Amino acid sequence: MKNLLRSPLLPIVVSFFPGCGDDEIPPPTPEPEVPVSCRSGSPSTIEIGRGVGGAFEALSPEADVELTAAPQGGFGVAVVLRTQRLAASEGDVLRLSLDLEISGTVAGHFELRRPALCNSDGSGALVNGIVVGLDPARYGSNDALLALDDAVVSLVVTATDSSGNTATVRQQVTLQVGG
Amino acid sequence: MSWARAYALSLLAMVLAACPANEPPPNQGCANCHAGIEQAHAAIQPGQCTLCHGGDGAASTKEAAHVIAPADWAEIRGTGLPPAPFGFIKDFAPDQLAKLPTAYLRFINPGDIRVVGETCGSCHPEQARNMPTSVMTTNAGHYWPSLWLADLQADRIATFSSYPVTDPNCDPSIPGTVCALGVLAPPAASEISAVLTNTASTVVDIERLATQHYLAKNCNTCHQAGYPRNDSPGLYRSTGCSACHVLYDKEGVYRGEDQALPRGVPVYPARHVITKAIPTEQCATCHFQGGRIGLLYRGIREGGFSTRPPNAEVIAETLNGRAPGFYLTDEDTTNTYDETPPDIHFTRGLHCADCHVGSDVHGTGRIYSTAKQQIDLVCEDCHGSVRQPQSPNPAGQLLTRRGRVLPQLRAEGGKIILRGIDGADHLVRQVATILATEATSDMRAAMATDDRDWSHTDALTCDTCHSSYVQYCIGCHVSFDLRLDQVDYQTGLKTPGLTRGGRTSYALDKLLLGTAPDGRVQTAHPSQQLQMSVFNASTYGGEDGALLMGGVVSDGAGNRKTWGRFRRRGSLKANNGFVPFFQHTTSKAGRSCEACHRRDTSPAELARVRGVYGYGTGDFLLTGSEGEQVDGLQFLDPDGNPTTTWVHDGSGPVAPDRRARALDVVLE
Repeated sequence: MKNLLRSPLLPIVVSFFPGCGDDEIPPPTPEPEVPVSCRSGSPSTIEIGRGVGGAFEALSPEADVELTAAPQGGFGVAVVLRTQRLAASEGDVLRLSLDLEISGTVAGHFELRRPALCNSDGSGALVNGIVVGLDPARYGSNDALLALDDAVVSLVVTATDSSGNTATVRQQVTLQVGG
Repeated sequence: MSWARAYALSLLAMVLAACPANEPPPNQGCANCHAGIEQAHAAIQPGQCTLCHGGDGAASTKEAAHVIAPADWAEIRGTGLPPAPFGFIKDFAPDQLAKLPTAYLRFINPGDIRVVGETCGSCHPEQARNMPTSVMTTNAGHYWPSLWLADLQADRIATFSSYPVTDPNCDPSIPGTVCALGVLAPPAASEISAVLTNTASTVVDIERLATQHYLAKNCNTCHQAGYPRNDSPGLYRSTGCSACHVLYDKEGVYRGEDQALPRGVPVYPARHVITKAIPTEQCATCHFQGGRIGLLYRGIREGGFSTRPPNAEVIAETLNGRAPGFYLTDEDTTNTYDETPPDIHFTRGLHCADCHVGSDVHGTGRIYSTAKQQIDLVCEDCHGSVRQPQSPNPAGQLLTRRGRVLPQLRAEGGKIILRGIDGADHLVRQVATILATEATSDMRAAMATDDRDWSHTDALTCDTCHSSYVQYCIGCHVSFDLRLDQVDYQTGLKTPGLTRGGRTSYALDKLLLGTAPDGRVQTAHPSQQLQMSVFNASTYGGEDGALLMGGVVSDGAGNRKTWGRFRRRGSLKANNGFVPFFQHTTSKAGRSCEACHRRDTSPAELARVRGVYGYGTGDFLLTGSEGEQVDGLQFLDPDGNPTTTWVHDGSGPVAPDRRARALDVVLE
């Protein structure tokens, strides 16, 4: 260390750390206001869609959705949810109940907690990365999977926010095996 | 001045001369909108945005300042990927990224391999030169083993990469390296048609189609040359240098102070910061596949099998694109122990990047065929050997056995200390010291040198005994169905054929031993025990669903089921393939002696221990396409002849003489 302090390179090294020793205290960042669409209230709604990178394309009735094979095992329907008037400010978590019904029979049921991410553009909150899976004991074989191609199934999603406010959606979709 | 110090200073001087970070900052155009954005790097001053991102830092409007997405963005994106905002590229496959103007790619991600020479490489030329040929970028070790095991290529060398790559300084005499690699795109409809309509085609031609599809479609999202799907918790990451050095949180959203970046919208890094403190979770965005060490290290066990333990504790959320419940953290919550505990290094607060630094991850600029040739770190590099503690060289550095500096280690007061990425110091206990001062008689029997100066550690890698468990995936059924289409992550397009995989069963309480490339005994693992079935489609002139490869065989319970064809190589009819593998489930306590030696002289005990050395256990029988049955954990016939090949040069069953000696031991 002593050698470094004597070194002519010291000013250059120090210039790598321009922020070091700066005593200036940055002004506090104001809390961003939560848009109405991300506050718990009525009527609360939830939509099922698809998209990536913040895009949300709501699914139309019986829209084609892909039954996606996850890498190295597992498959399910990957969707995005958009909520309105469910609490979705920083730190809020939604309780979700997901069902996939085939001919009125539940083929996959999952309960999970996911953060709802409030979009600052006021369009509501997105819940990304939702994969509605299928019971692997019943849909493990290639034949069982192929039987689902073009099958019209129902996705049923219920979301409950931290204050108990709930929204439910039932959406019929047409499975496309692939993706 | 030592030569090492002189070299270091001259290198520093060169870097400083080349690095543009000392140029005066451009005007504050960017900051007019991006007020509050984090300083990305200590050497890059606030406002020097364009050094990395390009664009026009003096412009006063967003349109003029930003590099705009190319007009043909939608065409490049194609129709296979989900809907996305205009200009979004963070789920592009390598071929799509290669079509983008580099100015736009650099604007979105200055760390991408295609632009890194102008950006990160300005100050870090060695890393920027090496990283594009690292196995983490080329994915080279992923492609060839399946082809080689199926006799679809002659040699054990890399044949494909996730992007076209060349080593300009290639030296073919270096073992395990190649000079250049091209990509493996899934065969197009015309190629499939050519094979299926050619009466001279054989099942091997069909197997080649299917294997190439499998490799391009089912596993090709984990490398730094392209983005992952970036649509699910646990997957969010970038490419190139940024894949590791820019951190994404589980939701893939920005959490920093920039007033212009959108909130609650993926895919953004958690903060606009480049870091060397890379947490395990970042590594796990890729390493949840393949050897699954990103899961095993954290005590997470992959499920997805047809059965799940009734009292298991699961991760009840979507993760890595899997539905809730796919991953397990405990097999049985009714007992008092964890059957699949995390690695002890994880529980002590160490991350992957605390051990794996330098050429282990960046590579050396060579194109290695497998990670085994790129990674040189072994347990003894930190913990010393049973004979001698680790000690610094005259320059005070601690080195791997191959002579690579481990900058995270230092010797201090007779101890070896590891400075963690979290800034904490960790005492690295030395095996020789433990043996000399506190070892029990069992520990000494297991590890210390005997009166012939022989130690088990001369013949076994440390992890052979110190892996708390091994998860064996037994029977990997892959179907390739030409009736359906699927996105492949080489082109990013939807191309003909759907490949999907599923596993038969798993074991947590078995042990297999083999020989590692360094000649020592190590835990062994099946290597993608593929059984492939291929289904035809009328588009190719056949009958929809007709089986082109595989067989329909009775399952013994009155049902007829489709079974895939085992890989074959030479005279081997079920070439399941095995690899020596470091599980990353390290435990302080080693396995007991009886794991590898007999407790008594009974035939049952002999059969049990023979199972450890690859003679088969009889517990996991796989059915082949001709009704043949193969033991999924067997690689030797009763006479000790190999029944399968091993993937890596120098690896194989435990040598016959060692095997015989180990089987002869009867514990008292």
